[in-house]
Amino acid sequence: MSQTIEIPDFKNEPLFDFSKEEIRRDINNTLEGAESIFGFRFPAIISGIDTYGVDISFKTRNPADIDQVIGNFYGTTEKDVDNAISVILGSREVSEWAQSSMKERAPYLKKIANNFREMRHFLTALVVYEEGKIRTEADADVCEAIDFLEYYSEYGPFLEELNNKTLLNFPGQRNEARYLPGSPVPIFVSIQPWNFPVAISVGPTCAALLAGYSVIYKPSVYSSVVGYYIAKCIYDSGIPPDVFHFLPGSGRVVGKYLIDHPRVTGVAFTGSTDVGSSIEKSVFDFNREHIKSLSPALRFKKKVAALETGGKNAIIVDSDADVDQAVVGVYKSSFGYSGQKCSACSRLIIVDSGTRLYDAVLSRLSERIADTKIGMPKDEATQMGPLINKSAVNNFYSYLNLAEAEGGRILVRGNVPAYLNGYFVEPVIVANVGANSRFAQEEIFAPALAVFKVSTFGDALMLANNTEFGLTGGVYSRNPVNIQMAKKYFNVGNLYINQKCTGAIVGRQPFGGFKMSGNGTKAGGWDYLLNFLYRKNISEDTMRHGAVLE
Amino acid sequence: MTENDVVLLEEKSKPMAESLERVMRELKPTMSLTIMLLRLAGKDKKLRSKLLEFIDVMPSLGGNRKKIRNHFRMYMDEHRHRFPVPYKQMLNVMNIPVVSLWCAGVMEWVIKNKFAPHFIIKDKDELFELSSLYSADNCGVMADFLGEKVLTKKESEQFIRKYQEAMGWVDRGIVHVSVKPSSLYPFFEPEHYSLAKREAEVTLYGMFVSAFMQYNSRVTLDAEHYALRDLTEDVFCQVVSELKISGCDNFGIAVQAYLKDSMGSAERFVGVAKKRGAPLMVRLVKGAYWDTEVEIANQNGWSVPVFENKEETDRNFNRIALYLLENSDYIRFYPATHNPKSIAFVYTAMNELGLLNNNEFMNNFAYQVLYGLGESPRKALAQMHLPTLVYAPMGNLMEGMSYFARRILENTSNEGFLFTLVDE
Ligand SMILES: Cc1cc2nc3c(=O)[nH]c(=O)nc-3n(C[C@H](O)[C@H](O)[C@H](O)COP(=O)(O)OP(=O)(O)OC[C@H]3O[C@@H](n4cnc5c(N)ncnc54)[C@H](O)[C@@H]3O)c2cc1C
Repeated sequence: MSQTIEIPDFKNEPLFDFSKEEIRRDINNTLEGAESIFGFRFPAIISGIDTYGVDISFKTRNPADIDQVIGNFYGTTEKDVDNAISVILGSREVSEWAQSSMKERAPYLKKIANNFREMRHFLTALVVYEEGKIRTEADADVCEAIDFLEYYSEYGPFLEELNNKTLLNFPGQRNEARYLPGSPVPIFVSIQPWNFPVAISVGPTCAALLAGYSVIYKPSVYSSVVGYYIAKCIYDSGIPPDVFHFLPGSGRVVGKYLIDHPRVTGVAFTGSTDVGSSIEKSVFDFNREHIKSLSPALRFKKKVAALETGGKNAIIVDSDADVDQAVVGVYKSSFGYSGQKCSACSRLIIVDSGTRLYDAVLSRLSERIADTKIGMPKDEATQMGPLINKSAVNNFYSYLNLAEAEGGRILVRGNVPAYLNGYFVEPVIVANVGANSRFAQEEIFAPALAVFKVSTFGDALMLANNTEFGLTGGVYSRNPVNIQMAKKYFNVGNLYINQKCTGAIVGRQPFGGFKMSGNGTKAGGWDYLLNFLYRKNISEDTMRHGAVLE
Repeated sequence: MTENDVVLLEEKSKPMAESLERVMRELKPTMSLTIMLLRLAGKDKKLRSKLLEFIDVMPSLGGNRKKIRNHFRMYMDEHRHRFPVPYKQMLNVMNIPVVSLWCAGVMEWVIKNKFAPHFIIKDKDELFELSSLYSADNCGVMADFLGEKVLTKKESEQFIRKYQEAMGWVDRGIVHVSVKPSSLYPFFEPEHYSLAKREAEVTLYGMFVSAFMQYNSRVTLDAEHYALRDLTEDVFCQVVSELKISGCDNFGIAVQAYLKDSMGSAERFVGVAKKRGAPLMVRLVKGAYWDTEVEIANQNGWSVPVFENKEETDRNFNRIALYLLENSDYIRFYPATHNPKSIAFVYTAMNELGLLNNNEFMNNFAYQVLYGLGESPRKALAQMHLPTLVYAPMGNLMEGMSYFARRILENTSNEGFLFTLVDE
């Protein structure tokens, strides 16, 4: 007996087509209007109820205009965490949520997706102001969040069905599979960064909800207003309030406390490799030590961690590359959102076997950077905005000094207009740094590109792989043999051939890297959900003295 | 104009289309070598696209024979079985070391010196020669500049200088210059609309002013990808509206009939021309980026902007042609097509509207054809004493050839008249 199972019909949310006048007008209007909601106080939310503390402990600001406060928060404390966790532990909703199927939970994700669609312009505008992204980048962030919701809501139930339909059943023996979050009170902590404040928050948070966890979501202190509206969209789906909690606050205070909390059964973290590693270690220790101390009813197999961390990604431009295409691709990969993407290209390797390709590519790329208009992200004319904060600026300059100390030569510096009052830096290309220098090895997270010249494609691949990271990589080549070689030996989670190495799309380029770039999860792929789930198999003998029970 | 008028005129134009097609077929052998290249692969599209890819990559190999040979092998080896027998034997030769290098050299030479000159003018002297050669046929020449994509301001300035120079060739018989909108500004893209518009307007304004005041040259904006369409038209309309000089009919723009909403563009230009009180030139084409437009729309989940079957494009071409002819007081009409049906339709419509005997109209009218590819329609039209204008791409032969290959590659999957000729 053969059974069929339909592959879900998933479509990506279409990006705004900015060639259309209506779309440009709507976004411009929203950007103008959005400023009226800035400067308010925002609460933490526990079980859907706003919670304000006594003091304002942090503000989010427009990184392009330091005087503009976007939101005021009283950062949550360990006490708030304990409160949220005790609500979860005592809630019936929570255990019912954990026991229901993905098929039953998926409709909530669809509703959340719709809530995002309704707020799409506003959220895009908010990301422009709070994160300093230009509108196209902000739009991509919001659309990706919607994609995650739609994609997981389709593929969760699909996995359940696949599992059950592929089990062998016989008259008298019924076999059943359930995906479970691995604990009767599964609690997930989602600690997310500011650089894709919508997409990277929503992806893991909602995947965990779909998997049956109750989730505590902590956005970055640099994107907490965006985080607040994400929380609103989640609650407005009608989800049982006890399964979701919004706790904005500092990573050092609540972040760490949340991750180490003995009742927390899963962690999703996107951010620096240092923090990611420390989480990995603490989860490991926790699993070894603390599990014994839990009461048997609360015991679970182990805490899970989905980590997505840094990158030092390389693009190789082969000697026969289409130069027009390569220059545009590298420009976007390296300088889009001022290089503040874990997928960004920070090493450019040019195969020059005496054809002067190195000079041709770099002179065009450098001029394009010099021609780039740096300015306020809300302006349509702006091509590059600021960095996120003061320490990012300091970090950028300290690496630049380091590069010079290491013998590097700055080929170009972009032009930052003097009137700007934000965290702006000049994008740079640096040549002459050693392959093993710190500038070429460490993630800078800024518009700083190191360039290298090699004479063969094989050398280029060796150099590209000479890093502790393995997130994305790019190859511009029209040589089929070299392309095959890159497919085999370029050691990255996401390889892009003849296209830019940023902007992974849900369902097309499931995203996540090797080596120190993460622990192998692929956001935006169906197998991502398996990171959160345990599979329970139930086999029931339905034969009673020769009769098969229905 | 009603839909019915268009259908009736199409019907009426059939006999002429048929005879034109016959004449064009007879004239075909003039480009035999080129056709040979495309025929080499027969009707096999995969093979044809490999050949074109090879031509496309050629300039990046810097004349290095070893690289040329290796690329040729890499591109062709997996398709060896597809080749007709004589070519298969030729391919085997590519495995003999010394001979293969010699072959690679010959291949480069042939592409550069035999194929490329069929499509590309290498310098202005050749252009002037062409212009005097054609003038006997009542055929003009329009200068077009090939080159890499404009990615920097410096590259944009280089293009502008070339356009400016070409505007000065009026007394050498080159009255028309064509301009790529994306060369006006290195970030000519809808993402930064207001910036791109502002920058391109300043540049175009300067160019149009000198075209009119200094040289009396005629300048037409090409139509590029759909994403740039509104931007291009906004820039153009803004600039020509500022240049309200009576009698100034030096400025033009292309309309792509494969766009579902292209009639709107035609109407817009008629409106602008009425308002500014001087005619505009409109080049009507079907559109050169069909495959790309479909792909972009599908990848982004946007509605497809082009018609999805060829008849609709052809019908829309006719519809717009008739509309523009009916507005000949405001529009200098330049139909650009190699298709005998479309050519015949335009002729029949002009006849119907009494324009063929209208000197004022005919002095400002020409069928536009591409240099090389459009040689048979050009000759056929010359035989009928109809004015023609040859669009002549100029530039480095090798790089130009690669550009040209890309153009054909972009259009391999659609049904084009060029290929029906080749595929015989
Ligand atoms: C002098 C000159 C100038 C030109 N300038 C421009 C320009 O500025 N911009 C530009 O874009 N193009 C330009 N073109 C190219 C033009 O758009 C056509 O690609 C080319 O001329 C082929 O069209 P045709 O009428 O000669 O041939 P035909 O064979 O009648 O038509 C081919 C065309 O039909 C359309 N088509 C093919 N398949 C389909 C399908 N399945 N569904 C719908 N439509 C389909 C496509 O537009 C295709 O190019 C120019 C052409 C000439 C001769």
